Amino acid sequence: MRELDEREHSCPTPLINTITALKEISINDKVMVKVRGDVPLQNIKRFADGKNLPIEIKEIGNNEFEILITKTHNIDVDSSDKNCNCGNGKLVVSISSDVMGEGDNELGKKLMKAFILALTKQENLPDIIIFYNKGAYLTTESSDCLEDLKKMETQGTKIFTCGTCLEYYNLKEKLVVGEITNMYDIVSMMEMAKVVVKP
Amino acid sequence: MKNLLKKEKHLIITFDTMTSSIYMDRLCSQNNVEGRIITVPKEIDKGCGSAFATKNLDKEFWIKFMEDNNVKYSKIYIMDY
Repeated sequence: MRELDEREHSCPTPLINTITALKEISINDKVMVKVRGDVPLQNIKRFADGKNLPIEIKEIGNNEFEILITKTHNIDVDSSDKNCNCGNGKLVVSISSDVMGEGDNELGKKLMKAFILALTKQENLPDIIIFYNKGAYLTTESSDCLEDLKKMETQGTKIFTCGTCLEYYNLKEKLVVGEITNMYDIVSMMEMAKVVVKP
Repeated sequence: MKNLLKKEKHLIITFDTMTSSIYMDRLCSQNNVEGRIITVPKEIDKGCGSAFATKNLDKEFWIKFMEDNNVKYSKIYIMDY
């Protein structure tokens, strides 16, 4: 078994070191990695789940975790697998409402729709878009921004919606694009970003 | 992250007022006509106006649609957007 202690490493190093170890060990061997904080834990869990590798998680201390992954089969790894959700050096767009600015509601909705379309027309796409509070409506069934968001997602933009907000507005079953996230990840993504754009 | 999305041919209609473009957008939604409000492309105007964009390139259709619904437009362009 390969043992890694990543508790002193910041994201994305724990994920990258875990992937490297998993590639190097033999089939049926295991990697045991210790991490500190929810973000590296979730990133490694997301990777293992995505590759259908069995994973066991044990809390070993104050916000510290031991993750045991069994390499049941060979895995293909591409560069997108090493994208963690920490926002490290990335362009993050943060959307807190389904309208842009204050004032007339219809105008605000049109502006927000135009803003999201304009994101798809820039030379560089956002690495991450985070939706929270009424912004959660934009990633769910009734949204008229889904086509633009899906286009960006196919190009590699990661789209996240606040889980608490989806629950509050009864939208959890109606999420159409992207993944559900939590406040720890949201704070981490914003803290580590190169730029946070907020319309 | 580099944007690799391809531009597509669109018919773009500009207006003198934001109210007209919102009215046009609303009319299209109500009539299930394809099209959407956009910010005027930089190639047309460097300012911050709004326009209407559609993949339906039939200029005559749109002129008649706007005349029938009393929409005052400024110019019509066909361009990659």
